[in-house]
Amino acid sequence: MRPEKGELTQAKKTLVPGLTEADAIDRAKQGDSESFEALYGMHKRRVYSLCLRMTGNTAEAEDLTQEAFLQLYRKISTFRGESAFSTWLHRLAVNVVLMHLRKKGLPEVSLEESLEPQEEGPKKDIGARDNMLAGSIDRVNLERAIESLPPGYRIIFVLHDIEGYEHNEIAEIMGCSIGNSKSQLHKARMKLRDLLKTSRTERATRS
Amino acid sequence: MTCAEFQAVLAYIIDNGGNAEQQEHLRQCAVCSGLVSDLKYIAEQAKLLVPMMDPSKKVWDGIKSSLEREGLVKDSARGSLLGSTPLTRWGPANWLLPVAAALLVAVGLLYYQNRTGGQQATLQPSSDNAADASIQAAPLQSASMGDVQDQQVLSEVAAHIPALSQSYRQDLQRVNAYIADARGLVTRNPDDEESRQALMEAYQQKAMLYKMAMRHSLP
Amino acid sequence: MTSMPRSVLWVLVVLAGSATLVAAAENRKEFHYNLGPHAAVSVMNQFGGVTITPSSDSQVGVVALLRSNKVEVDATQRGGRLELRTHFLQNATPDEGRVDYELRVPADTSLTVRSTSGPISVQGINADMTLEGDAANIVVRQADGGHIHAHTLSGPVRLEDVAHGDVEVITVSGPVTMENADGRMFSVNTTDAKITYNGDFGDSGEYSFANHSGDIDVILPASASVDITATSEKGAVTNDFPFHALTHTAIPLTQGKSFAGTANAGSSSVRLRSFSGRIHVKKK
Repeated sequence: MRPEKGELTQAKKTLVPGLTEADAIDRAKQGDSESFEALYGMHKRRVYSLCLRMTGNTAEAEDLTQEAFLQLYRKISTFRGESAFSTWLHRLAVNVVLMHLRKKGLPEVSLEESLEPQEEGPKKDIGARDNMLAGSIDRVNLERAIESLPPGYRIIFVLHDIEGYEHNEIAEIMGCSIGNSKSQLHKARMKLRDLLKTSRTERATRS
Repeated sequence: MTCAEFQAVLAYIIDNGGNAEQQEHLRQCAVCSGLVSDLKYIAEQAKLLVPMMDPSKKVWDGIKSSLEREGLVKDSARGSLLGSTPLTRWGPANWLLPVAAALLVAVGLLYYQNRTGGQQATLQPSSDNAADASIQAAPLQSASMGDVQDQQVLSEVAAHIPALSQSYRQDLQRVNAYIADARGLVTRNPDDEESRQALMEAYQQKAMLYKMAMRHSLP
Repeated sequence: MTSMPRSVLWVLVVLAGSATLVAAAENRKEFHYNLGPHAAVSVMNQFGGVTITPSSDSQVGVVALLRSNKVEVDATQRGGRLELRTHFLQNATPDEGRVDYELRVPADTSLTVRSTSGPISVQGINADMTLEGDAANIVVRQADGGHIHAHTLSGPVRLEDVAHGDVEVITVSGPVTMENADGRMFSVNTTDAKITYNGDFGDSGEYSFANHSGDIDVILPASASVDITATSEKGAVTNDFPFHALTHTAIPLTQGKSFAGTANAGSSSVRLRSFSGRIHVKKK
């Protein structure tokens, strides 16, 4: 998995004056409540955003954020520092969300998915270059489009394109093949493409 | 190669570019190259999405109360265990301590057995009946033998693991208060099995504390 | 070529040397043993954590992370017994003397673990274990059938998914939390720590939770089969579980200070006792 964007090394991250992340982790292992809070403050936004993007529901995302941090604190004594703390926490949060979604009846990736060409393919487009998306997506529209994705597509898209997991990692997490992971990601992107183009057209019509 | 054939495998070649035939089709087909360009653009834009939302305050409140309920947080007023005082090698075993621990439990047993028989305990302190308040006010004054042993325990802890001295002192005070209250119960209800059980449990606490302290003085 | 000022060069040399020393000082040791079935492993540690999980084969694997070169690990095997002991070489501060152990052992390995500061974590071991630490945070998960002894002064103790063995927890002030834990003889004794139990008390067990001034919270499902008494000399005793109340009991019954009752077949006996703490029993 690629490192977190703009990540500092663990030793250098400072949570409050005089308290580095490494110190906070050590103190949290001893049960220091201030260190728990400091670690929460540093990582809550990313964990919550992950939960929100994967579930599309703020109440569920808050519950899952709480559960992810509680599991973190219960297991923090086992953190050995072989990977970055944020990577470890992140993986834990992903597992919490996936377990929750499975209990709810997550649409499992099919193991016998056929490779059918897209029914609404660009081969039907005329003058395709004029309809290209480049330069026309803003963050708000993209977030909205991601929220609209079917859950199975959304999970794979969030894990790969936003959170940076590789297909082999996603395959292990989701219990599917690498091929299925690629196929689902492709479908997610295709769906997003349609949604974003539709949205762009609607905006153009209104203006 | 047709567009349909190219798009059928696009999911698997978009990252590595595909074979020569597929790359040639991409060069020549405006529709498929536009599609690939869009899909890559979406992926690039997704990478730039930064987490923007914070959870509400109740998430941390929920975490905090669970941590407290599960006992995962410690009162920072106790202080850190990792002080900077140098540790010496463990000194010679203090054989008085295991004897003291055994005697302590024996005292407890003798005390409650004698109370059960309606007799005065031979080791009962003279001020026992008026004692509850005074015992709690002077928490290290248990039975006279216990006093000496308490001081010995605290001295050993101070000598071998000074970072825990204060913690041991506080725990000893708590345990002595427990013993005092339990003894008061037995005094008031000499025939009550529950009261006698409570006294045994209080002495069990102290025996464990002595045992833990003793270990630090062993090589 | 631009020459670097001499002072800057010296700083770089010192920093590089320090980094090398730090890297060399903290080191990792690994041991592997074949102890045979029903082995016994003990870990005597002062400062640092001990984490034990089950191994996938019959071997015992040990990884010890030593914080400095002022501490050693002595490993001694005698037949089916392995002893790991942290050994201070010279005047060492607690920080320098820290060793963190990670063990993988067969699930039928009995354990004795001592660590002053902890934490101590054992998961998936179905054999007898004695876990002690003055301030250690002790966690036992997924233990089936072994006898568990957990002793601390101020360290919290957590038992989760523990079944079918005898359990003894003694702590002066470390909170005790039990989730889905049951056994035959189950005893928790604290001075002023909070005791929290969330489970159904299994079948035909004897449970005793006692403290001096801590609170006791018990959460039961409707299916729990218990014969329960609860009493506090000075604290409030409250209950919102629909027990069948008992009126003739060995303990004096005082409204708000004690109650006794049964639920379902009353197969497990539960005694809750505090001197001045609050006791609360509620339905899940």
